Amino acid sequence: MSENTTQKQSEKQQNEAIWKPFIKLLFRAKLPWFWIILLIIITLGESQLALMFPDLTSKIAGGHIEKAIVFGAIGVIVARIFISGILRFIGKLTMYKIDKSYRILIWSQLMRSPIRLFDKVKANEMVSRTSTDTASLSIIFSYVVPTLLSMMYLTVGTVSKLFGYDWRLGLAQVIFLPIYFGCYLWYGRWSFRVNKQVQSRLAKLTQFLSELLINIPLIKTFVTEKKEEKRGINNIDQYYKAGIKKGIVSWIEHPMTGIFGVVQSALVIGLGVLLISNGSITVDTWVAYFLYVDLLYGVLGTFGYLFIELKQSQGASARIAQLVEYPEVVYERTYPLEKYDDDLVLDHVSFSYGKEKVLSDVSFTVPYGKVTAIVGPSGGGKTTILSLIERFYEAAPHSIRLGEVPIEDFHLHDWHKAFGYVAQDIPLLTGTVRENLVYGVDREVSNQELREVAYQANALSFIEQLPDGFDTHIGESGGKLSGGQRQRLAIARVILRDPDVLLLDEATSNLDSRSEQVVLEAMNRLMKKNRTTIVIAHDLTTIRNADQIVVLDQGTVNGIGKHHELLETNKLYRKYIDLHLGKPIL
Amino acid sequence: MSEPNKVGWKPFFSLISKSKLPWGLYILTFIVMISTASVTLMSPLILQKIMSGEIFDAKLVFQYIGLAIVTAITVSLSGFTRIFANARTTRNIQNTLWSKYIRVPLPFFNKEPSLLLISRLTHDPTHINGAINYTMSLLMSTYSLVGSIIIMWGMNVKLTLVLLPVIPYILIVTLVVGHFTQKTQERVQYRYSGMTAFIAERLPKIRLIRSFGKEGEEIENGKNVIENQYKADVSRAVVDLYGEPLLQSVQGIIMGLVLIYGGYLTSIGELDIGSLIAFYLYSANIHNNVQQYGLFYQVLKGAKGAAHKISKIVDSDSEKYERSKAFDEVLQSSNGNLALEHVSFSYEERNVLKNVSFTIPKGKVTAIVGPSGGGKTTILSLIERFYEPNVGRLTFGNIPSEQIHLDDWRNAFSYVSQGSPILSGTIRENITYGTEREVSDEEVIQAAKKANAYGFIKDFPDGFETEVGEMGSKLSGGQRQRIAIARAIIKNPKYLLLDEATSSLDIQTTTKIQAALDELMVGRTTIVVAHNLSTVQEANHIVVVEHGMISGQGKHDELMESNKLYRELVEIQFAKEQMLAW
Ligand SMILES: Nc1ncnc2c1ncn2[C@@H]1O[C@H](COP(=O)(O)OP(=O)(O)OP(=O)(O)O)[C@@H](O)[C@H]1O
Ligand SMILES: Nc1ncnc2c1ncn2[C@@H]1O[C@H](COP(=O)(O)OP(=O)(O)OP(=O)(O)O)[C@@H](O)[C@H]1O
Ligand SMILES: [Mg+2]
Ligand SMILES: [Mg+2]
Repeated sequence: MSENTTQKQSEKQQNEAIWKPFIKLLFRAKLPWFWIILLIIITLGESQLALMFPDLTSKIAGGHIEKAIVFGAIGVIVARIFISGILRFIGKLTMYKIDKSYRILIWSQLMRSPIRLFDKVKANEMVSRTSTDTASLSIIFSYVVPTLLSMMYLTVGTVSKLFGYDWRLGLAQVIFLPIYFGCYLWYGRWSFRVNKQVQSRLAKLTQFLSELLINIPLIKTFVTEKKEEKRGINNIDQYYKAGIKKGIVSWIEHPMTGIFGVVQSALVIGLGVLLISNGSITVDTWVAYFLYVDLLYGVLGTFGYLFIELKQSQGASARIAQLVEYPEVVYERTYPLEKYDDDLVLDHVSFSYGKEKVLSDVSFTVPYGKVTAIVGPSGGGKTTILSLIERFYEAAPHSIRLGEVPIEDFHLHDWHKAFGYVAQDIPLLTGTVRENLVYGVDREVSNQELREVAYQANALSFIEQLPDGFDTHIGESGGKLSGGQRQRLAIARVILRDPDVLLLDEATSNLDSRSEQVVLEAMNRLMKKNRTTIVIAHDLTTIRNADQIVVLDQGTVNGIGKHHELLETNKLYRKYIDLHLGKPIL
Repeated sequence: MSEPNKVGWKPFFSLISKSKLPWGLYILTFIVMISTASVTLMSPLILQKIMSGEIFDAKLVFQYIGLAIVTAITVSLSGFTRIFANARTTRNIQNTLWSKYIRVPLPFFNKEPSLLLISRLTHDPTHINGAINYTMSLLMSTYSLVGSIIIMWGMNVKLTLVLLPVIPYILIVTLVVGHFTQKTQERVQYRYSGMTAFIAERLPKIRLIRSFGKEGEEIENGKNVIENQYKADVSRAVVDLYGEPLLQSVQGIIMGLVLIYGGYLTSIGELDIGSLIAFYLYSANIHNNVQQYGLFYQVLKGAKGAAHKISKIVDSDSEKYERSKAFDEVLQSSNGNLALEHVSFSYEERNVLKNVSFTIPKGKVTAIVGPSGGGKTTILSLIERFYEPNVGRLTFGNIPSEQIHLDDWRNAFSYVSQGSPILSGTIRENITYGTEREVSDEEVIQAAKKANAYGFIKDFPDGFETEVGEMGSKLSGGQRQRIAIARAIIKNPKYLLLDEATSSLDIQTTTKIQAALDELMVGRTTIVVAHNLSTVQEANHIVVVEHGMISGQGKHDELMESNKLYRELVEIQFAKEQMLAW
């Protein structure tokens, strides 16, 4: 709703990024140099052919309809057709190759970027950076650079030809060209700014749509259709206005080109009248002059457009650079994690997402093979602790250790392999039940095994009732399942993974007590096999038997111990138990 | 994404007639375009004269420059009106679509992935625009084509006749090339949306990917998707590789014919050089204009497809808000009870609710309990009238719910749903989301306090103005839930629906909120879904839902006697709690 400040910031960032990051980024991806150079060579060849053409036509126009000239003209036309076809093909091929390398570069990079980047940049934006922004980068090599080169070649070629005819003809163009370029440069800059506005409006509109479309039930519940309709129409209207502005700016090119055209015609004819009448040139030469000028400005007509493209890709590259240059998560560290077989020590851990501290001075040990529970008021930082243990975020060096070794010294891959995490918000993939279950493992899984884990998570009976059993599509992010069903799938997924360490964040909050009991029994069996477990639960009955309970309140440890110990020593915990027992249900 | 190949023209025209297009602007554009074409038709005649040496004829020169100026003006003018016409058309279609999105019934969204709906709005309307513009260009092309041929005929009949057979050739070539172009283009688009969907689906789940160590695999998957996109792009380019020279060859043939045959005619004196040049210039018109016909088909096909897809949405029924009775009216003139009568319901084929009947008495608390997946949330969705029962009906004070205004209805309810969805924006914006009136800061604070959210909100540096991130991702699970509760409280509804409203909250917070809710529930009809039975045992009425059927209802004590499932659930919970005792 109010992204003004962030937008201004990113705009500023983009403006600051002049050429350095642009050039740096251009060489980050693997570029198809062979094709690029080939493209440039052929483009120049094509320009050379183009330069030959007016000479021939002017002769025809002058009435020299001789076989050699006619066939020469036709030959040149045919050659140009073929070459320009091939040229365009190679251009596109190059472009797609570059697109591909940038997309792969960005995607691989994103998969390895720290979670903080995802807190900062919206998912939608990342999508458009991977899909659209890359295209504005690749067009540089596949189109802008070759065309600019051929423009230069043609300009020099034409002007020198004209000087060959008569120095006044050449001079007229030498004076006229800089004015022409200047105007288009100015125009290009302006046009770029407006284009950017349109793009950002479109991005806003898409962003708005994508958020609201998944929250339609919320809109209906709160009967905010009118309000949202207005917001949507407002967004569409701003996009419309930006579109009109862009339309007008690009329209200006018409009169601009028109004026240049008229001035050019006047110049060409005026010079012609002058020079033919005083006998400096013949009518034939004048016609050739006319055609050359026509050819030259035909090609230069896209100069403004090229400049806009160049500016645009500069903006795109700044945005991409923000993703790609973000310090990558380093996967390779000092030690492999052969076996997770020691205590995990949190030693004065402090952490903040932004300015305010979320955890301050948290210290406790997660003993190997035992169950540790974390309880405490909502917003106290429980999930944050799991995020740190999972190394989504990095705590201060050495503050979390496995035995003696700081966890940041283990290869990240090995580390993640050791963990099975049931997250609080139950992320499921759009796809089938099966795809979701096997997501956590790298091997082939037999049907038998799938049924087994589904059974343990108390999910088999409902899965079997689904229309296609394990192959049922569960909707966008699992939207076609009930809350408890989603949760049981998430649990089954972790059971299948069979990890060394289990992290459970409110894993049974949406289950009725009977399903919960079944699931907990399965969990208990899992926990037995020397498995280190960290459980977060609001329902204290589920963690009563934990080997150790950590009471976390407002980012600090309020008490540690077993259930009965805490009952004696910890006021907050006792209060919680009292509240649980306050209203005995029987 | 299946292409609707056999769609008629009806959707296209019905969409055009419905979307209030700026016809005036289009007609103006068209008139200006025709004048451009007329002027353009004249210029070769003059140019020919100048080129053949009449450069000293001042009148001719001024005519030529005059024509250049007029062309520049008309081209600019039509460009100008076209900007507005196109932008308005797009906007009008987008507005129609968006208003529709907001109002179609929920089942619609079960079928359509949201990414597709987005591109339907942002991308598809341009096809419609394209078709209208193209039709205009085509009319203009016809005009210039006929004009050129008449003028050429006037200059030399033989040479014109020689050129005419080229026209069908151009048509065939453009049609064939166009066919392949479209085929490959469709694939490019299909792959492209596949690629975006792939990325858009994965990025929000990055934590899942990380914790399961799936980066490598996802990078590989991503590479495949990108590679597929690349392949589609390349096959599209290959079509152009063959297609473009074919299309351009036409130009070569025409020029060849004019120059060779025209040269022959000149040499035997049937044609003068000036006319030959003019002829040469006119013949370019044939090529450009005929090509338009071939491409027209492709453009129309695209537009037809887009119109079909858009129309399918625009023509689907909106939820009807206006019904015959106002909610308050019914509330005053009846007992105000809600009742489900023999309701059966299915999302797809499978029946989720089977013959469900029960009454929710006004001013009382009704609890719905039962195993997960039993259909509790579904019942609430029916009560919210998101879906309509397949069989049976929902009544309010004995009046069938369909007769009551829908917006009234939903305004009378506050629903805290199971997922506690939060929109990006500030905390304040989220809390006041459902209120139409201006809300004072004091009110917002009160609501936050009741939902036990004031404490944490006040601790944020920006307080109520804190940005919560996409889908509330910068809040903890329980914080999200409390904001959802505050959002429901501030509406001060007559009927309150709570679906696992405190499942992510610790006992202390729950107790506090419960106290606030208890206060709120006094005299207010409340429907609670909860797994924690201690929160529902005092309800006036408890309904046990199992496998989509009602297996019992009554008060806690009655159900303990009569309902096996209920007793079992209670006993399990009691046993659990007993273990906590000290
Ligand atoms: N990505 C984030 N960016 C900024 N702040 C965050 C982010 N995630 C969590 N926070 C803040 O950090 C604090 C601790 O959140 P955390 O999710 O760890 O709480 P929790 O103990 O798990 O709570 P709950 O029981 O409600 O799930 C909260 O105040 C929350 O608003
Ligand atoms: N949008 C949907 N499309 C298809 N099936 C659905 C959809 N939503 C729910 N279902 C199915 O309907 C059944 C009932 O779901 P519902 O959400 O009502 O259960 P519930 O009783 O609320 O469960 P929980 O306690 O787990 O939230 C489930 O089997 C579920 O898979
Ligand atoms: Mg949490
Ligand atoms: Mg539910």
